[in-house]
Amino acid sequence: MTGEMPSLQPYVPSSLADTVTLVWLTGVGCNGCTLAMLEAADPGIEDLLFGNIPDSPRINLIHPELSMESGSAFLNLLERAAIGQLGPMVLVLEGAVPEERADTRGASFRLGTTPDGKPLTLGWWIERLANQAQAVIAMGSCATSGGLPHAAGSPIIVRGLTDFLGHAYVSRGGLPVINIPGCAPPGEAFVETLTYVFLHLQRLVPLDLDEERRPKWLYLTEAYPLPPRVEFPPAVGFDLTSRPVVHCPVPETGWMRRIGGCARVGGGCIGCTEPDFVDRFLGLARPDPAIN
Amino acid sequence: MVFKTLPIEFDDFSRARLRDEEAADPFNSLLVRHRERMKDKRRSLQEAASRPGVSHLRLDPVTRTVSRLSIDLLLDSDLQRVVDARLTGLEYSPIEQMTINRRASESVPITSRTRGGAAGAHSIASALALEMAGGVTPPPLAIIARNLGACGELISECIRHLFILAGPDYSEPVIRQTSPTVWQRAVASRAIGANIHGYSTIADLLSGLSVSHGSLYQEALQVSRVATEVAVLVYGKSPHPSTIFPCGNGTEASRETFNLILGRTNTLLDYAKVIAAVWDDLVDFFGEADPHLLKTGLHPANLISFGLWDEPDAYTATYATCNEWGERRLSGPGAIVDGEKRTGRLTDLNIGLEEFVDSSAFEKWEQPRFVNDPANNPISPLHPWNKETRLTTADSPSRNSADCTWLAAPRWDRESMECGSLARLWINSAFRYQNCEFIVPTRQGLEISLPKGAQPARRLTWYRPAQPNALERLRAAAYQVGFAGMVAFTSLLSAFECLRRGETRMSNRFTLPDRSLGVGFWENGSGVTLHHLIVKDHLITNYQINGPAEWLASSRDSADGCGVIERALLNTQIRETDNDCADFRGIDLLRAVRSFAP
Repeated sequence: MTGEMPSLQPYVPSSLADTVTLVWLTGVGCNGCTLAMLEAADPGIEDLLFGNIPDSPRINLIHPELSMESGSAFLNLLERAAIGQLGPMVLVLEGAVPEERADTRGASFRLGTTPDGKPLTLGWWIERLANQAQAVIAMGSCATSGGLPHAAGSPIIVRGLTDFLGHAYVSRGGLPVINIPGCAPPGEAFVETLTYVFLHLQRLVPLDLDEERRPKWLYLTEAYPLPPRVEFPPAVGFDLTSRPVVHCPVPETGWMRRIGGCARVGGGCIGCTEPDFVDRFLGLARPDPAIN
Repeated sequence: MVFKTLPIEFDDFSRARLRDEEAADPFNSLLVRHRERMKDKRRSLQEAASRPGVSHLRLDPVTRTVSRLSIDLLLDSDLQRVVDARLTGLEYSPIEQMTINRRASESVPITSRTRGGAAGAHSIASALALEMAGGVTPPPLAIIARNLGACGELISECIRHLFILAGPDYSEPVIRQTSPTVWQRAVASRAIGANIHGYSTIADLLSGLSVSHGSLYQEALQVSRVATEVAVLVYGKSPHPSTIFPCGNGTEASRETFNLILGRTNTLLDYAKVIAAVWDDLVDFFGEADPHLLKTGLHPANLISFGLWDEPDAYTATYATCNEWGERRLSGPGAIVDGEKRTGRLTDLNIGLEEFVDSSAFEKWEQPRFVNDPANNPISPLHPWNKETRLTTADSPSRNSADCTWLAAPRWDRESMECGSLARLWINSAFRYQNCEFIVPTRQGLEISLPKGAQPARRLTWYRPAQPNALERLRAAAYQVGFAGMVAFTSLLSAFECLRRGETRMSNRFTLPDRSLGVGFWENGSGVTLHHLIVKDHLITNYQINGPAEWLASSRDSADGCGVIERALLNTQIRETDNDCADFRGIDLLRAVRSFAP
């Protein structure tokens, strides 16, 4: 469906719009994906803000950590985006969506209040914005599959964005929720994916998503949960046979500008691009020494 | 005197004991008295609030802060004075509860996820707490590498604080709209630091601060990435290091790694000269052109820092010796209350801690576990080693009201304490710490010597202000870049010396006794980063995290004492209304909040 190249058409630059509104919301998480996004350099978020990337629109960013507006002016922007007054819009969620039903010890992540003082929940905004969005991107493992707050021992119930919106969800641009898992994923992966989404919405390129709805080309490289480099026999060893395989762009690209990258520099791999990595893989990445 | 409010005194051998040992419950009985005292204060506030014309203002959400907050304010009838302020933390983090019953070493990657922007600081604090619990240390080069990663992360935090989060509130579009006469003056004011930063007038600097388009904004995005690269070279990734663990660091200790860090550090040291000149010009200009800004975010000099960057020769990880290794930190620990030095000892800082949950969405816990710390000093039933994190039920009224805050309220000696760059610089100068040869405390402040790079060598002179305010917090964050840059420079010199001697070992065996406890004292850009943990049979049985959001943005404690930002808001004058703004944005209040980078 999404992976197919549309029939070859004459080159029509920027048929989407000159400016696309990018609404970034934060759920249960650490706001680290925002940081990762800011770290992407070539191109960086500023290149998108100015429309420096060929065939990509200029973005109008509405972001709780970066926007100029605060309070009701900020909420007003969200409202206008939700009712379609700000033109074509792409929604990005970082962090997991908390279950807000009273019987589930919900976390009441409020984003504004009604005039009579009732909290407006994150889920309420997401539903409305997703309904209007050309594309919806789940940035980071919390947003793709619940991530750390979804692991055993968490006192609250959270969901990833696909589970929240339903697997049948399709955006106005005809796309499912696009997942960029990782805790955090590299910012370069986000900027690259967003650019592809823009190009795809203009029918210039296909958007190859794998069965987990990740950008296929970014999540090809294999990685193995393993401990960081230690100078003693680690409890779980470095033996890669019989280890689970995860997929991640970092082993190939490094963390940023080709430097860093977990196992590339001697760090551990906790398999953070996979659902439930905390419960499944953290034990395989422990630096504890073997007990002799 | 170390403690004025807590019932702790010291004998002739500096050993702490309870002041009134006969009282059955000294910490609590004192709280009752304290609450009585605060009642009058509270009543006067309530009276003020009930006066005719007092209006309610809600800023919800506050953007451009590290954590998500909202503020409720009561404003005087002339809309110039804040009668009452209440902060609400909008984010709940399940991290503390999720560490329970997990393997001790897993707490490092889990608690790193407390705060993305300071993930390395949280990872290190967790590793330090485990090292204390185990009484074991990493090899010297691993400690140095950890320091370097922390320098990179802290510098990038400071740069984002100055230009991405707080700076835009002083940018051209805002000044033109909210204080047009100040803009006129800015156009006519020459920038003193022009030969260093290249902007000839103050107005040029203010234009540079503009969101997205400003040249200073864009430069900050780029240079903060260079600082993050320093962190990433050690941490493997950012946020959430993959290399940090107790007793070691996975990073390959090659000459190449440290050379790559050195190249980036040189860039940052040149930028440190620029950023200090930019903020000196801005802060001095605003203090003169718009004197009410000197009162914006004003807070008594209640300052706390637990210090960071351990000296490899001094660090022994244990609680018994923490005062010795604490005072050798490249940024030293201390507490100052109302301008008065109280203590520089980590044990005193630790035993003075209490955490209140009264105005938050958390429940009180039951019996405290400890009456003493491991050095036999008394601790409060509200100390983090005694506290448990318990959520109120989802249907409880506090959870469903719009002022439900997710931030517990840490206090030291029952005082709300400011933390962050200003607190760190102030404490390093007041306590005369000199553990880095390039950073010298003077009577009035600090001198930081930056070496020649692409820009000539320059000595930064930072002066302790009369009292903390929003502008001085920003100036301090700018000088913190040079401070942390020289810590990185010093650490690199030590790293190359280790390599020359062939001391390339990066990890030691991590062991834990059957039962133990520990605390990681550390700092991130916005301030205190504390991890208290208890372990039994290699499993975590309790974990408490106190970061700058709790220290700065918490609401009332049991005695109804304000949080730091709440108090700073009460001191802030609103002048935006003078200029007949059609579109009231609460800029004075937002400047006060954002100066802390909460």
